[in-house]
Parts: sequence; structure tokens; C-alpha cells
Amino acid sequence: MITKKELEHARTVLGRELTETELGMLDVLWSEHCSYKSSKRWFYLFKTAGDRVALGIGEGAGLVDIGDGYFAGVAMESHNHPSQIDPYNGAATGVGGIIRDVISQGCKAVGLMNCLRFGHPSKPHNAYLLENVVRGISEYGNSVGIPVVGGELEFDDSYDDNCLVNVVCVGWVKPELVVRSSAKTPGHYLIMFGSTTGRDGIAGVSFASETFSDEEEENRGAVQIGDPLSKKIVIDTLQELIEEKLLDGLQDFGGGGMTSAAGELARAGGTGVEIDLDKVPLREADIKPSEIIISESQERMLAVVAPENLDRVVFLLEKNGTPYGIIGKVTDDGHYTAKWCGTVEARLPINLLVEGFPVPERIEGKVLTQTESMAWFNEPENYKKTLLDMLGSVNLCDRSWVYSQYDQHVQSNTVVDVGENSGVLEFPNGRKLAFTSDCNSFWCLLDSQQGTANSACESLRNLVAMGATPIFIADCLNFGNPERPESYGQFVESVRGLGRFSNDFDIPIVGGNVSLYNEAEVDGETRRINPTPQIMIAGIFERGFTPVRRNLVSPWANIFLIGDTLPELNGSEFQRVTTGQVKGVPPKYRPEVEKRSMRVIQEAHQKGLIRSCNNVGRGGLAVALMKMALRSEYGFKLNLDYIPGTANSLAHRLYSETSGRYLAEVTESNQAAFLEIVEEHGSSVCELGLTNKEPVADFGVFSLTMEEARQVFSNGLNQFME
Amino acid sequence: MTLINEGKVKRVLQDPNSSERVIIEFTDKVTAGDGEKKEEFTGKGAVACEMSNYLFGYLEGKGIDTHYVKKLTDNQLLCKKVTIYPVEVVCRNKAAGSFCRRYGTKKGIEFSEPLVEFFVKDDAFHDPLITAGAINRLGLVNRQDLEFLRSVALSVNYYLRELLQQRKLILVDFKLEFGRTEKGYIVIADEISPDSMRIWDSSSTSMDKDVFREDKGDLIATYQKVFEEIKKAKPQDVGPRIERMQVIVEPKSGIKNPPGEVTKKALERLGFADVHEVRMGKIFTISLKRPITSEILNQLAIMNVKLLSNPISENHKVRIES
Amino acid sequence: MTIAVLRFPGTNNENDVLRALSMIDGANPILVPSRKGLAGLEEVDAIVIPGGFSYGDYLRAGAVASVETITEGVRDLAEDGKPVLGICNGFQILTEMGLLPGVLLPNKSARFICKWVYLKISDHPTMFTEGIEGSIIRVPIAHAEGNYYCSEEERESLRDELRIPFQYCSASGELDLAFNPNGSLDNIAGIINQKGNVLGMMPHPERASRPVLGSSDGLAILENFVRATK
Repeated sequence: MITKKELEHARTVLGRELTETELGMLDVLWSEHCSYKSSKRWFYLFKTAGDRVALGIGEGAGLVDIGDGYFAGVAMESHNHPSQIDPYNGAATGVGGIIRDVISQGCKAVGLMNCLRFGHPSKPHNAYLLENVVRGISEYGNSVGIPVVGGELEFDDSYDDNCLVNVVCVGWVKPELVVRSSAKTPGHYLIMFGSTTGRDGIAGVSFASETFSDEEEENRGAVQIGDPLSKKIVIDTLQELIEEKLLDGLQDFGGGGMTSAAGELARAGGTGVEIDLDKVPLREADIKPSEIIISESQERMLAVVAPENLDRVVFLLEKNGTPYGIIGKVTDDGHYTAKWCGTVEARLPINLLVEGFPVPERIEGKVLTQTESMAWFNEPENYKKTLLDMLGSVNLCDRSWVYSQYDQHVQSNTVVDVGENSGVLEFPNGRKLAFTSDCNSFWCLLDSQQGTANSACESLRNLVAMGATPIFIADCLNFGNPERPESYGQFVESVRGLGRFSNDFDIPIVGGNVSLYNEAEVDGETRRINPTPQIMIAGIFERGFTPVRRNLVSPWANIFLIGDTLPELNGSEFQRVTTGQVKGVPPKYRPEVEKRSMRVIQEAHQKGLIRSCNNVGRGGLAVALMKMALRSEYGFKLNLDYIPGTANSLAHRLYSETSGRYLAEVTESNQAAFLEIVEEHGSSVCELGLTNKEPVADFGVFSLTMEEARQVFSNGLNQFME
Repeated sequence: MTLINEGKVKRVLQDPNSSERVIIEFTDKVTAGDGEKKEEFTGKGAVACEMSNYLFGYLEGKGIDTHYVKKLTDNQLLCKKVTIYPVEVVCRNKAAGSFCRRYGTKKGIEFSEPLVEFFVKDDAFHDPLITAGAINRLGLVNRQDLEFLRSVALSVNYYLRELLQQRKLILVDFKLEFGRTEKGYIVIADEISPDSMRIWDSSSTSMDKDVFREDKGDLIATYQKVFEEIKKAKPQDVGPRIERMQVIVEPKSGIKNPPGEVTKKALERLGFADVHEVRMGKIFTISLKRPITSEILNQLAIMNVKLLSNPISENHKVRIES
Repeated sequence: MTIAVLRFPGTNNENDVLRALSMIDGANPILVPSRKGLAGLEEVDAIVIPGGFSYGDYLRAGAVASVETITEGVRDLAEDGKPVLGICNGFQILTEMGLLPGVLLPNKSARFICKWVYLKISDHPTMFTEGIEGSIIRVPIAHAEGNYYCSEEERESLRDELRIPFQYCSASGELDLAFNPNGSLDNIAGIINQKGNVLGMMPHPERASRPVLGSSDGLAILENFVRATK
């Protein structure tokens, strides 16, 4: 909702009262979701430039040069609030929206990822949300024909009333066919096409910029309904228009509908727009102009077309049977003028509409400091039971219930399916790219800055473990109400963490989204989500390199642990599983150590020395190693007495979540070469043990059969969903 | 010409030129109280015939099937030969006539929605009121056809009411008879005239056979006056009524229905009652901007097996919205 | 010689099929949008109906596509004995058309399922399984309505006439319900018509046509299809 201060400001600038339509327009464009008014000021902390970056943050998708005349494109968005109200449609239209962002840059969409967070699935409502979000994503993405290549799923009570649905779309485009989101030339036509306009999602962004109250049912009108069949037709139509280079500019209708689409085009081009709302193809006959201009009906695009191309564009739109309307023109008057049958309903200066809002004051509150205390800790009495509990924990167990509902192979480019450290797609230039996304919201809750940087490291390690070199980052920052100092403080610290990471590792951030106000008032109490900066990193493989998976593949191979292990159990999954909560200082971000181990693995991969590899992250060493064995035919036998680092008890060694560590399966013949590389880079290493034909996980002090482990692992989530 | 049927005020004759045609002859007789009161007025037959001619023509123009073909003479209509349905269908917008007698209701009470009633055509029993259930048990008309008769009555109610309203006339109630043609199409038969409808003017004065029933006025003059008024109304200003058919598609019993099974488990998890079985189907609601006819229902039957349902694994049924 | 690869609104596997066929010598695949009608199938020697969500699967998988005019041309070609291959949604369309018996119902789990499966190829030779009879192949499935069902009569015919070339099985070829991903009758993953020239299968051979994708076991089926077209 537009604030009094903002309204006053608008009145002052215009020198008059606002019309109903103008009010609606400002309400949506000045919402947090569209304007980033609380967050933008911190983005300078990010590293956004780089040799490969062709188009950075700002337009629909980020574009990165991947060689041989191809750009990879990426966009990342959130659709949290709508999914809480109508999980099926909220999630489906989230996918629809992110695809539009990528194709509106001219890209062909080739992969999707989705990162989800819910309250514990033992509560029926959370199971209901999870089930329907997954179904929505599945039915939409599968219908449109874009494979899912990765994602994440995390559970915590803090998401009970605010589920999170973050989506990523990746694509590719040839540089000469890139379409920009700007209207540069006055006199060019504005043509909208795709679907008809109705009342869906009116003021959806305004809704996303508010916290939930107890009146949920009223919010239902704010949800959009997706139509994957129409989307597929839009994609095919757009392909034809782009190939013939008929478009001068392109923007998709996303948050803020036509107000945002045309407004952003004009702002980017330094021009203005004049639109006849009565030329918009409508789905409902009695819709008002003030509604048309902010409607968020799905599957619509806005194209800027030069007069000489008009006929051909119209011909192609009609051939594909796509509803369309020639709704206006680009002007040189720097204003957004909207007319209805000749009457001017709105006339706002572009500068005011897009970013003309008064910058709101935000206070960065002090974040609670945590202690290093380990008073809560007890060495487990039954190690086997503890490990089984860990493997069955909803934040560690098998997620195939989710991803088996997604088509992972359509378009026949999938080299590595979901379920490994990253998904891998083959791009048309023959290069393989890996995609992974991570966020440990528990680390972030305890220390927003360190937790964010460390979450990014987990993504980094996922890529490096497979043999990829990280090349770009996209992020979706999910936080609470920025008007509350504590929430705002968490947000700013997180941006600092991600900024540090991007600069320390020299990986540019080329796209992203911020979702604030993820808080709810429940019985007079404020419930805020854990700080959840969802980070997606993409990596590229050398030509001809076969991605290394994490399943043990040979008997009698050495299992090496690279990196030292400190006693960092605060904020760990072990703490959460054994005590029911997290507290204390979480594992520290250690960029230098991280870099050393990264270089070890990278060089070892280059020389083909590693048979399988995994990163050590959530759940610690024990879980990382179990995951390597669970889908293999092997077991292992370990001796954990002499692990480098100061972790002093077995539980610390097994479950500490110290950063900068990898597990590598190296056969005997490659051992020497491998150890040489480790020494060269100054990393620490130790041999944990050997792989074994017998399917038993033998940790020395205790052991369990792979059978028992598989049972618990595959049942962890399924038990709530069947 | 061969006499097929002698009614109280009309005769049905076989058309010598076509075995599929009959001639409906309107006599000058008028009766009331189930034949108790009888009179003859010169010219009554012609007026009743002309009004039926006009109103059948009007309804045909709106897309409703009737037996009407054309007017032959002053008091004769050429119609399709039909097998008459053994029930009469009455539609009431206000309480009047036998409804008031039956329940002691005050005359003229407006109903919140039109009421459709059925009466058995049975002289010996004085055409008693009959429920849909009894019609079905007695095998008089099957369920599907009865639903159709009801929907046509409501459709006719709309089109007549709207026309009359233009001249500030109120359609209180009317009776329809139906017949089945040789091709199997169901059409409105008999007549549509002030003999079979109640029309009031804006001061609730009867402009129909009630003036005869209650000795309130000159029958012929009244009929002519109301007809003059009706003729001034513009049929083209009566817009089409949206009519809906629903096709309900269900999995055949015995066929596994996974969506239903999953739903059952989910209900159980939520603590809902002791569920025996859940089966999940689909409903197609098809709206038309014109009256539903037998022909349309026949075409729908084809669509049901060709497209809307898969006969290997699904059953379907049609419901006409009233 | 030409192989037509059909595309209905909502089909999304046509490019995967074209790409896989293009790898086979002499295949000459062309894309035929369904709106071209019968004209699109003139001079065509074989047809592939690829997977996807024709018409959004909104009414019933394959139902709306099966009554499009172009399917009359598919029927004619099939009657002429020319090879017709329906993959996934294509299989659904062929059963809706009645060119193959039975129907594909919703999966037993009532959910979409995407995973790699093993198929046991029948010992009996068919046009599509020449050279790979009796073997076990690994291919992916991705569908929500793959639960094959037919009447008792049809089931007997299929069995007696040896018209079931593909069944879901374990890695070692065991035919057990445990390896049936969707509840299909008799673990049926694909069937052929009486003439033997029309094959419908739920798994995707085109997605298992290059080693980099994880398996090239599906290529042999496509190669046989192309060979039969010549």
C-alpha cells in the first residue's frame, strides 16, 4: 500500500491530485517488490562486473559469455506470498514468470530450478503446501517442456506461515539476437501479445509487499492463474519474432503488469509511452482501465516494433493464433500516458513512476550476538542411532519424492540429473554447464553475514566437486519486514556476506531478486522467516570433461578428506536434530582455506585423479560420506582417529560443519599424484579409509548396513507425503 | 379428412397430403372446470388459432422446436404428426388457479423462481398433479426426457415473459403439451393461446380464459385486445437466454482410479469420516446462447463418446440445468 | 523417403525426436504442424507422434489431438502398413484414435513420474525390436498418465498375438510389480497393432539416444523404425 508520505510526495511533484488509475500505478511500482526501495541502496557491495558478463543486473535476465558465440542467460525470482495462499497456482505462475524473464531477453529457456521452504511436513498444512507447490511447478514446467535441473528443499518452523518458492530459469542466446528491455526510439509501436487480460493478480505486487494477516481468504483474488499451453505458444511465437530480428525492445508483463512493463521500457530508453487501454485484448468485458493497467494476467509480452516491421510482426502473431493488440507508441515526452477511448486516465512522468519514490528511511538494527557455548552438547551414546536419525532428518534425506515429479530430460540436453551435487546441461556450443543452489538458513539465522557467505561456499563446493569452474551467481534474498530494524539488519548483513563472497572469489552476480515482508502476525505474535539468501551459482566445464559424480565407483579406493575439521557444531544439523533448535556461533566463513581446497580439487580433476567427489556441508562429514555410498554398490571402512583440525570428539568429527572441505575417492594408483597436489596448495588432507565391496558403513567405533541407511534415507520425507 | 382425435375445443385431423402431418382445427367452443362449463363464441377459434400461429412462430424464431408448420385457414394449423407425451407441463411465475386451490395460497403471490409442475393427461382422474418420481416409476416419461421438458418449459417461460413485459403484461402461468416426432425429436405440441396461459395487465386484470371461468368479461374482446398488445411487442428485442448442459464424466466402477485413491488417503489423514471410496471425475458445463433442442442433445451424445469421455474407462451422464 | 514428426499445440518433444532421427543415416525427418491437416502428410513414408502435452492434456491426455483432421491421414498411412511410432503423448493419441487398443490412465501414484527405467524386450521379433529381442534396455520415462489398461479380451489378444514388445523390469530383467512405475497392466510399457506396423510406447527412446545423456539404448529402436521405412 502506498504510504502517506509517498502520496504527499507524488502530489507535490505533480502539483495536483492523482487519478484513480495513477494511484493504482504508483501503488504497484512503488511497492517493495517492484521498486527495491529498501534494498537497492546496498547492491553496490556486490561484484557485478566481469570479463564474461555481457549484461548484468537490471534487465530481465543476466547474460554471460560462455564462448563460441553463445551467451548463457539466467533469471531468479521469488513467488512466496501467492504460494502461501494458493500453492498450486502461485508456484506455477512463479515458474511462468521466470521463464518470461529469460525469453524476454531473447534467450531460449533450457533449464529450471526451484528452491522451496516450508514448515515441518508433519503438520498437514505444510504437507499440503509442499504437495501443491510441487504439483504446480511440475504441471507447468513439464507442459512447457523445460527440464528441472536442480533445486533445494529445507524445512523449519519459521516457514510455517510464510513458505518460500524461489525459481531460477537458465537459457542461452546468440549475441546478435539479444533483445534489450528498452524503448529507444519515439514513434515505434508498442504491441502486446500472448494472452488476454483479465483481473488476475490485481495488485499482486502490492500484496507481496505486505505481511500476512489473519484474513487470508480475502487475498485469494491477488493470485494469478497460469496457462502453460498459452505459454508454449508465446515461446514459439517469440522465437520466430526474434529470429527475424523484428523486435526493437521487449519486456514481459510480470509484477506490476502493464504499468511496470511499459514504464521500465521507457525508463531504460529515456523516452515516454502513450497507451490506449481500449486496444488491449480483454478476457472480461467489464474490466476498468484502472484495473487493466495493473492486471497481472499471465503469459503476456510487450514488444517495441519499428514501423517497417509492423506488418510482418502482425502476420506472425496471427499465424500463431496469439491474441495481440497494437496498444500504443513510444514518445519523446518522458511521460507514461494511458488513455481509455480518448480520455486520459493517467499521465505520470516516467522519472516519478519508476524510482521517483521518496527513499524510505530504514534502520539497520543490531543483530543478536551468539555465544560459542557448547553447554547443550552431549556426546551421543548410540552413534548408529544418531546417524540414522540424521539421515532421516527432513533437511538431509532423499528428495526424490519431489524431483521425480519434474521432467528432467525434455529437450535432451541433460547430462547429469537432479540428485547429484549439481545438475548439468549441455549447451549448443558443446560446453557443459553445472547449476546448483544452496542456502543454510540456520547458519544465516545465527550470523547473517557469515551464514550467507558460507552458504555461497557450499554452492561453490558443489560445482567444484563435479569439476566445474564457477562463472556466475544469481540470488534471491528472502527476509522479513524491512521496517523492523532487526529484520532489516539481517538483510543488510546478508548482502555484506554475499558481497564479500562475490569479491573474494571473483564471481559476478548477474541477476537476482529481493523478497521482503516474509513475516506473519499470528495471534498477535510476529513470526519471521529465517534469513534466507538463496544463492545459485553456475559453473562451466572444460571441453570434453566428463562431470564427476558423487557415487563411489570402485572397491579398495582411498577416501580422502581435504581440509581441516574444527569443532563447529553450533548451528549444525546435528544440533538441530538432537536438541530441536539451533543456537551459537555458526561455522565461520574462511575464504583463504576455501580457496586452497578448491584449487586442490580443481587440479586433481584436471588430471583425472578423482573417481567420485562430494562437498562436506550440512550434516558434516558423516552425512557427506553416506551420500556417496547410498547410491553406489559399495560400503566403506574408516579410521577417524587422526583427522586434521581441532575437532576433538567423534561426534565433532562426524558432524561438524566446518567449511572448505571435500571428500574424494582416489584409487591407489593415483594416490601419490593426488597427495602431491594437496601439498602444493598447502591444504590439509587425511585418508579416512577405503571403499569396500561389502555394503556396510564402518566408522570404526560403530557401523551400520547400507540397507538400514537407505531405508531411513528414502523414508525421511516420504513418510509425511504418502 | 380422417379425424384422429376430438378434444374439448380442438380437433386433430390427418393431413391427406402427408402421413407425417396433421391439421389442428380450432373450434369456437370454450370450456372450463374440466369441461363443466361450456360455451360457444363465434370467432373464438380464429383468434385462438391466430395467436397460436403467432406465438409458435415467435418461439420457433428463438430456436425452440415446436410441432408448428404453418397456418392453413382461419382456424386451422398444419403441424407435424407427433406422439403426445402423457404429461402436461405447467410453469408458474405467480400463484393462481389450481395452485391456490390446492394450498389455499392467496392469488398473485410472486414466486422467487418459476415453478414447473407436471400433470397426467387422464380425463377419468381429472388430470391430476404428479411428481417427477411418480412419472418415472409409472414409466410415463423417462428421466432424461422429463429433464428436457422441464428445461423447455423454463425456456418458453423466459421468452414469453420477456416479450409480454415489453407491453407491461405479466405472464402468470402457462401449460405446454409435448410430442415426439417420427424422427424422435421432442417438440412443443397442442396450442399456445390465452386458453392455455394466464396473462394479467399491470393492474392484475385477467386477459385470458379466466374472464370466462370467472365471468369477468367478454372473452373474444379480451383475447383480441391481448393479442393486439402482444403484436406491438418486438421479438428482436428479446435477447437470447443462456442455457446450460452439464456432462458428468466418471471412471467406470471396477476401473482403478488413482486420483480418487490418493484423495481418499488424504481425507483419512485429515481425520475425515470413515470413507469407503472416493472416485474422481470431471464436469463439463457447456453454455449455449440459444435454447437446447433434441437435435443438440443428440449431437452432445456423439461428442460425449467421441471426445468428452473415453468409453473404455469412463461413464457419462447429461444434466440440463434448470 | 520422408518421416513426418507431428506437432500439435502443446507437443514439446518434437525437437528431441528430430534431433535423434537426424543422427540416423537416410532418415530425413521433417516437422509437420498438425494445422497443415492431410496436406501435411502427402508423400510421407512414416510418422512419429512425439511426447508432450498436446492441448495441455486439459481434457484428457491425447483426446483433443486424436480428433484433429490430420489424424485421418495417420490412420490411412497405418492402414497402408507404413510405420507409425507414438511416444508417450503419441501413444496416448494412438489409443484415443483407436489405432491401438486400450487406454492410458493416470499413474497409480496419481503423480507425474520422471525416472530411468529398465525395459525387457520380448523375445518375439517385431519391426521395431529387430536385433535387440530379449535384451534389457535403460531408458527414461516422464509421464502422469502411463498406466496402461485394456479389457480382458484385448489383454488376451495382446498376449496370444505377442504384441507386447516392452515391459518394465528390474536391472536384471525381472518382471515384478516392484519395478512397475505407474501401475500398468502386466507391466506393459509399449504395444503394437495387429499388423505390426504401429508401435506405441510410454518411455522415451529419443532421450536415450546419446551416451552423454546417460544411455543410448533407445537408438536401436529408432534405427529399426528408420530401416522399416525404407
